[in-house]
Amino acid sequence: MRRASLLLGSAAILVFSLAPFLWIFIASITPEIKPDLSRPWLSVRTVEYFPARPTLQNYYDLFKNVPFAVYFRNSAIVASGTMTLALVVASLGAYGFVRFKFRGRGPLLLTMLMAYMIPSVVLLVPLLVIFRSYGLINTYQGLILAEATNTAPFALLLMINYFSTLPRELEEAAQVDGCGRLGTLFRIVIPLSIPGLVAGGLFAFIATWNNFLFAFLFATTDRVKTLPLIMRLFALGEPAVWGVSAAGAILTTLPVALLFLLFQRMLMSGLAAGAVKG
Amino acid sequence: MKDHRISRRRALCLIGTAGVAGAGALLSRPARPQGPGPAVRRRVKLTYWTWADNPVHQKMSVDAVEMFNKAQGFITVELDATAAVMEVMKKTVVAFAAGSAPDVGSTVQTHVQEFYDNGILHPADEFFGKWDGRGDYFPNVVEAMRSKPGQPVLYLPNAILPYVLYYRADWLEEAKLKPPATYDEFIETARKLNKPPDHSGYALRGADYYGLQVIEPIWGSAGVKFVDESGKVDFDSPEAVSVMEKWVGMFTKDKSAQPTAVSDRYPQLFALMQASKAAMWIYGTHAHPQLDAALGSKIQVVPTPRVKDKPCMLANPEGPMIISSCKEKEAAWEFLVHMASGQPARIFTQGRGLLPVRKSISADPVFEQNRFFKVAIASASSWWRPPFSHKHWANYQDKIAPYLQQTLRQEISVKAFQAQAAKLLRGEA
Amino acid sequence: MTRGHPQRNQPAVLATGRRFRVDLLPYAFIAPISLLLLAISVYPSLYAIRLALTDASLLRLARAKFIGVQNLVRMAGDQIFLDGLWRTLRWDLAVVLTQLAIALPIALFLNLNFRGRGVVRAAVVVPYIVPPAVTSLLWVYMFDGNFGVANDLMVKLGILDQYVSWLSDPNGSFAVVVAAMVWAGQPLMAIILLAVLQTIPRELYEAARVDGANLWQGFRHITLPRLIPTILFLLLLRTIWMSNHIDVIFIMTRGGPGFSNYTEAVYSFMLTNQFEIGYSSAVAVTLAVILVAASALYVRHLARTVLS
Repeated sequence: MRRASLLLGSAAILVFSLAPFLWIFIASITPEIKPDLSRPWLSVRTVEYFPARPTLQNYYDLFKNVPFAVYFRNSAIVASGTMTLALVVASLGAYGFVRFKFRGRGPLLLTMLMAYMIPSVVLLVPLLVIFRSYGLINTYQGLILAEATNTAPFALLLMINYFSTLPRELEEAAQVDGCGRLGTLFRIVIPLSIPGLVAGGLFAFIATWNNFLFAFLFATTDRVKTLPLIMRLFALGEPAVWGVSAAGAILTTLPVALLFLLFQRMLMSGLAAGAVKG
Repeated sequence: MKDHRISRRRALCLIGTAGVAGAGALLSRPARPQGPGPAVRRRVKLTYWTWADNPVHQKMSVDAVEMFNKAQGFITVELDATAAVMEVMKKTVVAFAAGSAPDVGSTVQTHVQEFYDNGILHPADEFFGKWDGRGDYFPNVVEAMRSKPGQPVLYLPNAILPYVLYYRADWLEEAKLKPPATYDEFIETARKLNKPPDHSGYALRGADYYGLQVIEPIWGSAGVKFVDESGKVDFDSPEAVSVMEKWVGMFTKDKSAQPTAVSDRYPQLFALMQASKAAMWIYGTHAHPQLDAALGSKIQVVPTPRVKDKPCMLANPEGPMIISSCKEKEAAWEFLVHMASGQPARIFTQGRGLLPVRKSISADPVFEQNRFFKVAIASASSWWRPPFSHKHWANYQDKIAPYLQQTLRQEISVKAFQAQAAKLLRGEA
Repeated sequence: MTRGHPQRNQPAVLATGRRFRVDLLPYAFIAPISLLLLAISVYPSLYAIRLALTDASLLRLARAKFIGVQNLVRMAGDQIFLDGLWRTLRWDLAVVLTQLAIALPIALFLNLNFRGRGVVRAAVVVPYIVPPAVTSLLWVYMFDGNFGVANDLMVKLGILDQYVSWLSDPNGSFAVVVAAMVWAGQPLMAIILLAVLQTIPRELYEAARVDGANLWQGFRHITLPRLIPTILFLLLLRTIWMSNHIDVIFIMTRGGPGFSNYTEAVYSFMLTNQFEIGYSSAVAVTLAVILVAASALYVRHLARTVLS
């Protein structure tokens, strides 16, 4: 009985989470020659709707028609950059907030949380004007900074929660041993916080990897354009290129999925501490 | 003695210098084979933003730009063509406001006046006036290039997009009908060809402004002026209301438009035509390559329907423009000429399904042989545009779409719709 | 709480005076993030507030005139704005509550020990990782009124008589967009809840079972109390994110049909698209102020508990 209900539950979750995505996968391996929109594709009944001759041609065409590799590289650079920036400033800041009492601590944290609530659309034009005057348009630095508006506050919250679960005794012991504050941070606290950092880092990476709005406005040359912009063109294009678009979608999603798979366990424990305090 | 040596040395120096100068002259010729060289002889970099309807169209821009970059060694153009036409237009304005506009932009006739009025566009007139290719342009196109009479030539279009009525010739034949010429015939034909649930009489676009754009020539042929130079608006007149009532009636009363019209855009409409689920569709000639490939001789075209005697056929030129913040305007003009001539011009006309704007290019027999082009060319005398250059036109175009959907869903009356559109044209909303 | 004892705050950097050093150190830690957020969040927000007091248009930025509270007056009489308040609330509640309703059972399920748990867990995250543009396209085509898979299925299962044009109808399009957003967002909630669940020691449940408690009582007295702080945290965070969300709604519906999907954030985005950035900033800033006010109590509580 238990085995059956476990199986049922797993199946339900798998179908719910993966079925639509599987549809994209099937579309990506279906030959483009005669798009047949009168027959909806469905992953569950693969016997009927699986293409008669699956092909990898769409993936081929993707790299041929669009500088996919360049966009991929750009996405990787910008996402890693934002992740690193967010983690560094958030860790330093979180440590400062949690372990010190200083004037303006409360109001400062409140201001940061409030700034986090501003919708991106409000910041678009001001950021554009600011970036222009500092020559940050069409640069990796510019994109990384823009994405940090979304990711740094969340990372800060996560790390604040995480650090506050760490016992002070360890740090106090280190300081008695002659370690300075900065040394304590790097040698004791950070290594203990790897799960939290992984959690924050992964979310920052995903958010940046998938972000469209900032990339659209701040990256106008192929040199710095990121993957979501490819999706945009296909979303407006005609059904005849559905297969190639699907291939692009799969390749955009895969790297992040792999990252998640690799760091699953650490992510879990990182989140546990990062969200418990609530 | 001294003089000799000096003079020999001097002679050697002179010979040496001459030799170096000569070698330098030889070596400074660019390594690549040259056609008629460009006027600009420095290394110049230009950015060019245009739109891409689909990856095929995108490749056309990529190829044309590559041709330009390879054909001469001085000017390098960097291309950005990844979004749809409205998005590119918005992005250009936003970038200009932030000071990061491209050097060369792209525009359709609809927005030319707006770009000019707001100082974004640099009129191409100073170059066009001296260009020997200017006589090759059709006179009515040059008129459009000025946007308003009396203005300088603003941009250099390389193609013109006419709108036609596509129809299923096999279904028409089966029902023993002629292709419709007047508006009433058109409504009637849609009704007769309508076979629910799977065959609609007409593929109606309701999701955005372009659903109205195809009705505008019908309004035009009914004598509606929309808004004239003095600002007088007749868009809420009884004639305008009557045209719209019949159009909306296709969806609400006759049910001869597809039930999904309210949220349908190009991909959905094209899918309907391709899957043989709709009998007629008004759209630009650029859809004909795919429609022809899908349906062959079953798909034919006629001019768009008219209300009174004189038809109006929507035909919009489009092409590159020089942005006012561009620092290398001569180089930009060279690029514009390249895009409007020779192979690129052929790509953007023949390849894309648009008509040429130059006599020399339209002399190519392919434009007479292709049945879609033929119909469009034959009605060249009725090519028409709504008053794009009026200062409130963009306001109407940007804001009217939700009201169209509300009208189709009968949440507001057609009269209320026309009144709202008129308000927008007066700048009151 | 512990006060900083002098011998604890040994500096690692050059000294000038001890008191001076001690006071500067915390600021050194918070400086990077403060500067970053100042530059890219706070300053642009102030700029946006200034824009909100003008009639600025993107086409004529240099000719913007200061008009004070006229934008506020216009908002008070703007039906789209007023309806937008309700639409934003409706959108927030529908998405966040549905996400929670789905995420909690999933988290509870994944907390059980069974073979292949890792695989299922990895699968659960997939909707979150898919780029929003792809998700939007996906759901639009699934619910297409002429060729959509969802329609096909529902007709075959007998739920519907014929294909429905979901996106042509205000309620239908709202349902589809909410479904898309729920599908894409619930993994985040699920794995955060799961992470918390995994910190609850199994012995507690064992002990409770020995005492005769059943499954439901175990949930109510052991699980729920520990989840509540996290649930509140998630509710707040998601509500903020959903209030500011534009992408999926815009790509799937452009706000239509009519104005039925114009949340405040979407309205502000549309206004920006129409180049009216003065008014658009006014709408966006108002939205932000409302969010801050609505969450003020919770945020203060959060700050207090965290900083204790």
